[in-house]
Amino acid sequence: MILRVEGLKKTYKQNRAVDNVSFQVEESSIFALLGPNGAGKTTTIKCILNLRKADSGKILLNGSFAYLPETKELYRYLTVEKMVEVSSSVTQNFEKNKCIELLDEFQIPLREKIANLSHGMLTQTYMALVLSQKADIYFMDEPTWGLDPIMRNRILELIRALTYDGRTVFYTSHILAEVEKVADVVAIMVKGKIAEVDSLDNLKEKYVLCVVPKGEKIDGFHYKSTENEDIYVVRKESAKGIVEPANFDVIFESIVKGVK
Amino acid sequence: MWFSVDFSSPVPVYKQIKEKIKALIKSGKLRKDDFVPSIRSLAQDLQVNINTVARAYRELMSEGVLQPVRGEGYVVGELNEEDFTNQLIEQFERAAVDCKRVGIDLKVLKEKLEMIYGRNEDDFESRRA
Amino acid sequence: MLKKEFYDLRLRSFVILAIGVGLFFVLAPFQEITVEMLKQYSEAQNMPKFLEKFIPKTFVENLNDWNFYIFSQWFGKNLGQIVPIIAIIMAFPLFARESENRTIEFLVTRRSRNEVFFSKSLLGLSILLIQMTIFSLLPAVYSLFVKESLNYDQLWGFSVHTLVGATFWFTVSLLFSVLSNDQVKPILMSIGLLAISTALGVVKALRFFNTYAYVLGSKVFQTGGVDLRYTTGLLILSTVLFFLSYDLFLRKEF
Repeated sequence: MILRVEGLKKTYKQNRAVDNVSFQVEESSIFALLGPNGAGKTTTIKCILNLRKADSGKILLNGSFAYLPETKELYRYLTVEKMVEVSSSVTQNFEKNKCIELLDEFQIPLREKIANLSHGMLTQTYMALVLSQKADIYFMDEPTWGLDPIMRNRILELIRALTYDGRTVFYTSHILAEVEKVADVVAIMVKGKIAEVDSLDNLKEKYVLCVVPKGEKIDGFHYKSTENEDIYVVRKESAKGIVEPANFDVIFESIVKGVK
Repeated sequence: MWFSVDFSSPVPVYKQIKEKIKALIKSGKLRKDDFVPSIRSLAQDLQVNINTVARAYRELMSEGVLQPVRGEGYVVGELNEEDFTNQLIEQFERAAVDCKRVGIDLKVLKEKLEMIYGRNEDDFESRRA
Repeated sequence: MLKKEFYDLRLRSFVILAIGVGLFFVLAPFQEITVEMLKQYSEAQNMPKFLEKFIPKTFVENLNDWNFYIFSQWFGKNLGQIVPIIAIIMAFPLFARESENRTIEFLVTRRSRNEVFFSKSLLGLSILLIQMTIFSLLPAVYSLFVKESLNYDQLWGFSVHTLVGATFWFTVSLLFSVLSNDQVKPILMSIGLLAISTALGVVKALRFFNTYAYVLGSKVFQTGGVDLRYTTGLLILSTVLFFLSYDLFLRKEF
């Protein structure tokens, strides 16, 4: 177990950004923290990395980490080349050659000033810096935001490749389709709380869709209603009515809606 | 070895991999004692997580469909008869549920079953023709 | 990490060095001309009464003395006036710029907060002190070249005041830099504090607030040596401010 979070709480003024969050991450897995914007995902990562101090809770991190933040800001007055130099001198276990290779693959001009890079290129540059760092666990906050679909897939591949060497990835996203492709374990976070956490496979097998006549009571998450029926996402054991398999995005949507 | 997987399907990817491998065995493309790709190379080729392939292989091993060979990888074992039949029965169940939902009468299904089980292979062939 | 910090500081450091050296050389070689000019002004028959206060005849006489010239015009004016400002300029971007640009996260997730704080602050302070030392030694070196004699006791006094005054304002600006998340606030607050403290010094009872009097070395003129009490006070305050900045940086949230 490379990361354990227990009872993490962080409140800003009246807002409970992180509300009693607990989960565990195993080595060589890809753990996705999935949730709508403002759910508290970034604050959770920042508390784990000691960028912010949690109000209460325990954090156990067993290994070196690398971090790709949500706001991907680098030194704008440096060229990409110089930024790699700086990264090399400041970062532990940094493989400069690997970085240059990645930048080349991403087609980032080395002589260009960081300030002149487009948003997508900046993300890719930062990603190259992070992937070139040898760490036990990689924290990535919205790693593919702003990237075109082809680049996104390439990044997902690179993220997966990290686990081939036994490293762990903890990443946050609000893009469900991506998480479906790449996550081993998913924690659904809404309004500061973890509504559900389990392996993606288990989540798909745990829940089914039930169609019941309107108004009938059923223990589950409401998905939608038609004129005569209510449709719920329900644990397999409590299923009744007409039962259909549930897609992950349906499960996700219903669970999110169910959090008060 | 390559086949497509559907990430957005309600069927977990590891299950899809199991099914596809079994299908390859059933169709004869994979024979007993053939080597299957290592977990890592299959994961890379299919572009899925290692844990996913690992789970699929683990379950296929406990079902006897795959056998580990020390130091070399995994080979195809016996396609478990019980598992195979269970699958077909599940398929039958699903079809029956669909028929019921559509409103087909139990009598009609019973007749069909009796026809299939009661007659000879020859009769069946001729009736089909 | 020091390599990067040095790279960031280089522009500031060299410009300040250039300005300082430049200011010295618009002053040092022109003693005779200056004295001549002021003599003409003060001997003008129709000089308005109020101007007499600014250019008393004795003052002009004194300027003929090399020591007096250097100490009053260099330490007491050209250099002295800009010492707190140079110190503020060296310190304020150290943390505020990186906080503003959000690049501080890059550093803090790769190096310990201790290393980040001490690298930035101590390198900045070291360069500041080197600058001030060079500026303080310039008169001595120049005097050797033009074969004028300089009172080294007084030079020592003025140098100490310059270095300590600079250190104090560095730590003030450092504190504001750590506290703020943008670059405008620390520079405004530091300069504001400088202005207010100097103004407060007009009130007799609050005279000690006026750090300018200290930096310009009026006490050194009077006593011929270092003002020990004030120096010690500023050094203690500087240390307190420095470690306060350290503590605040350790606890800061990004």
